[in-house]
Amino acid sequence: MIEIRGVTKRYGALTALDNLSLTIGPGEVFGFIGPNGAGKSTTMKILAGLLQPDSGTATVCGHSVATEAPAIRRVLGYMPDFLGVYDDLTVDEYLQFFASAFRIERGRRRAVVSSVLELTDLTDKRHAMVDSLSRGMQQRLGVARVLIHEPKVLLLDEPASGLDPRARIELRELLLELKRMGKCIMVSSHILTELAEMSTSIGIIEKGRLLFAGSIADAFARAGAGERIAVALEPGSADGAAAAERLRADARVAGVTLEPPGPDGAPGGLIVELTPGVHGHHFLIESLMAGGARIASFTPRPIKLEDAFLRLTKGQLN
Amino acid sequence: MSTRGDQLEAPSTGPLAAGDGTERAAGARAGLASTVAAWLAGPVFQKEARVMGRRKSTYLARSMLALALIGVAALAFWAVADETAHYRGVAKVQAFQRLAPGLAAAIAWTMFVVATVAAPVLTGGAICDERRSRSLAALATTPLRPGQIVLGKLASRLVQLVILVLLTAPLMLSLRAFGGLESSYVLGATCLTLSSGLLAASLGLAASNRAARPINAASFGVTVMILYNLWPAGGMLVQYWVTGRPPSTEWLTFGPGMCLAMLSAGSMPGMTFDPATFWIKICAISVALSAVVCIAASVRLGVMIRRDAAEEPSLTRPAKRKRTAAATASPEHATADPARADSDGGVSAVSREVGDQPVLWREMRQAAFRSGLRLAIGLAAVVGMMLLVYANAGLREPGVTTVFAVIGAVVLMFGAATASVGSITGEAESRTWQVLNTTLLTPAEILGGKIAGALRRLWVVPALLLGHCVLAVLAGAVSAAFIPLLALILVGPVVFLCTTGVALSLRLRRTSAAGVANMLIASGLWAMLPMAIGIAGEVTRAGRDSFAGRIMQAALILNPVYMTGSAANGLGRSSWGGSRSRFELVWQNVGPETFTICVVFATGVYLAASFAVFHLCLRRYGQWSALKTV
Ligand SMILES: Nc1ncnc2c1ncn2[C@@H]1O[C@H](COP(=O)(O)OP(=O)(O)OP(=O)(O)O)[C@@H](O)[C@H]1O
Ligand SMILES: [Mg+2]
Repeated sequence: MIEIRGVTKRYGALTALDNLSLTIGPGEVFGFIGPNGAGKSTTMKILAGLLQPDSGTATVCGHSVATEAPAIRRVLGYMPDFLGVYDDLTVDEYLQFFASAFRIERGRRRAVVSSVLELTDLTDKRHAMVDSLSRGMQQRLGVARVLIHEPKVLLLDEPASGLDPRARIELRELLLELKRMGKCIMVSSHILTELAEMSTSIGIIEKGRLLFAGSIADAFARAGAGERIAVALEPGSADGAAAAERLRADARVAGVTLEPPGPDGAPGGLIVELTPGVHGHHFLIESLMAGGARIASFTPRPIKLEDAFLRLTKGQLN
Repeated sequence: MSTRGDQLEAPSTGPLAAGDGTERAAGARAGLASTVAAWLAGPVFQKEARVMGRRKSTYLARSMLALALIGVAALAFWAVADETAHYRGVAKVQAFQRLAPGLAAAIAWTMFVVATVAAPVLTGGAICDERRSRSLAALATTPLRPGQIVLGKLASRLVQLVILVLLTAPLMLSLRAFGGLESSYVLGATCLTLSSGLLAASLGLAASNRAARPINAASFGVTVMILYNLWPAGGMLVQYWVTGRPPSTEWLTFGPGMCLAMLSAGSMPGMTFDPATFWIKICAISVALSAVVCIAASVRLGVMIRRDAAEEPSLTRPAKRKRTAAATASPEHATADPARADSDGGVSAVSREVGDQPVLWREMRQAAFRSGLRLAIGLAAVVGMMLLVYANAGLREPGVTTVFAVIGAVVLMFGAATASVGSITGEAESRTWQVLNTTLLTPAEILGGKIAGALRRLWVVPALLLGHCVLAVLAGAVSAAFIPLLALILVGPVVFLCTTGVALSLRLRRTSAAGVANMLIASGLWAMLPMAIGIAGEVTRAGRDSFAGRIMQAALILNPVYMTGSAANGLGRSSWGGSRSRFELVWQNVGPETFTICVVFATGVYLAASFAVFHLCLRRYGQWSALKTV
């Protein structure tokens, strides 16, 4: 549904997007991740037809961004990173305004507004002035606004910023609901764990270049992030350092970090990182016990998307 | 960095302490000169000066003004040269010498008006932009005092103003080379312009504290300056009514504009004051008033910062429609407590139904005045003044309609030049522009809606004019044909200015820049150009068949204020004596048919120009609008 081919965008001397290519299919929730200034917002603005690329092509639902902007607007909903609101309107008027701007007939507008308010849980605020809403509520109003013309493609630029934890969870539910409705969604965010839960694929961008695009599992594999396991040892157990030495010799272990001993004389623990692709834990326990270690606890830690992200972007910084 | 040090030394009583006493104590300790430096050229000044220096529009405005002035002078010189081509040496030099004082007066007046209008435009956004971008709170947490913020902002903008005023210096000096121009005149005019600009800037800054948008603060400043310039006339009237004798000319020295007029006219009979230095008094008054206004603005800013710190800041201060205090004060709490959210959700404003052209709908809903009360007070004042004139001069007096129509035309053009300049920059500043551009609205709908909205907001002056004209027609002071003719004269220029305003608003980043540029278009077309031509005509006594004469006629036909006066005179009672009314058109009087043709021609030119500008905007829409997509 979204196809970007070799798009380059420059602001003066700065290259914000450098030969970017990207494809997002229908029903996909594409998480767009990258550090500040990577070019996420610029990509979305180009897709929304607000900026023209210097070179390359972009299409949304088969319509070219450069020449078929009106057709794209019909199927696309764009929510900017900084939500501007008309401070002289009520929530209801604000939504009606955009309903009218999207040429929804007058008779249907009320129903449409009610349904998006319902969806975003803003019905209580229907007649409040827009500028009296809190930041998070304005954010929800922005989502409501985006949905008003039932777009097939959604571009949400950092929709979760400024939301409290509960509102974040609600937003995630909302996005999952939209995903079930078969919409193609592109979400940019800094909150990677949340993206992991709702997106079907992710793209990592830095300095205008796409470092990675694909499923989340692929991202971990590419980032070379293996599973981590924290092992705590009991008092009186064999030395952790010796155990670490043994483990390091094993090809299935990528690395071992020693934790300092506790103040009460308890020996320090180990953090074992497995080689990517290795999932079994049993060999670890056997190896440790063979070395005389007494295991107090054995906790596999889930891989963090943050780690994958940091790994993928680290090498590219220079 | 001595200024830094001084600030650190000064006992900091917290950013919120606006007390005059502590300020004075600190001043005494740190030494006067360095305190002044710290206050005028402190961090706020540095930041503002840097921002302004970075703006392209600053330079654009300066060069536009300089070009306009030079153009006017060149045109006048060229006209003189053209007319005196057959003169001998001395006669030719004398012709140029006659030109100098008039041209100097024209430039001085232009600068006076530009400074008075530009100053509040420059300062109008000082505080209210800060509040809109929510950086006031950040500023308030620094050790800067409100007075320092106010002075820093004022000083940085005054630098711009001084540069603008001094732009004319080379031109004035080159005029002096021809002789016939006294240096006391140049000095007096410059001082009057600068002191007026200072007062206007302070007023704009003070209004910026309360205004929702910079343009509101700017219009407040300009309005007060107009009153400040006109009040001596009121005083003279009152004195005349009370004593029955001709009023003292001393009154004239209490208004900077009148003072400048007297400077330009030279000494007058019956003047009771020294013609060379009388302007010093009004300069001193203006400066003193500015100081008072600045102190008031600082105190007010202190109060506002305190209040903003105490409660959740609301982006725009004035509550146009009823809102519950709870909803405005802390929306955060409402989220946490669903019961309360329920209760204040119900008490808020009543939502209205949006029309099929949403941009137009919203523009139409934007009130011309901030509140009904203000509108009522303003209307009452104007209507009261009109009634006063009717009572004293009589409605049938032919001059009354002419004067009212001309004043109305001037005010209307001023309004038209400013009505639409914030329409798109405002959307860009509140970040709604990009969202609007992802809807199905076409550029023509958006721009058209903005223009129509601006036109609608101008209803007050035409309504007042219509009211007066109907009365005047009923009283037999003017012919009924005056009403449609006046409407025809005014509609073209008003549409033109609203269109150029929207175009500039689309092209430029700032409302103030667009406002100044649009004012320059208006004043260049209708004030500077005729002034230059008039002076040239005076000097050369050119005939209407000469080339300069032709330009003069064309320029005046396009001048709505001149045409309004001409129409009012032509259709007034005094000219009904003959069988046909005659209209004055530069050197000839023409009949109603010719005059109407001229008016229709001018209207056509303006509408065609508006259409061309509109079309240009549509063609450049994508490019210009992308500049606003930050
Ligand atoms: N209007 C502009 N003029 C000049 N440079 C710009 C403009 N807009 C963006 N940039 C630059 O382009 C680069 C990409 O910006 P962009 O807003 O796309 O980043 P982003 O990934 O959205 O960052 P963030 O996570 O902070 O939102 C940045 O280096 C930014 O400085
Ligand atoms: Mg961004």
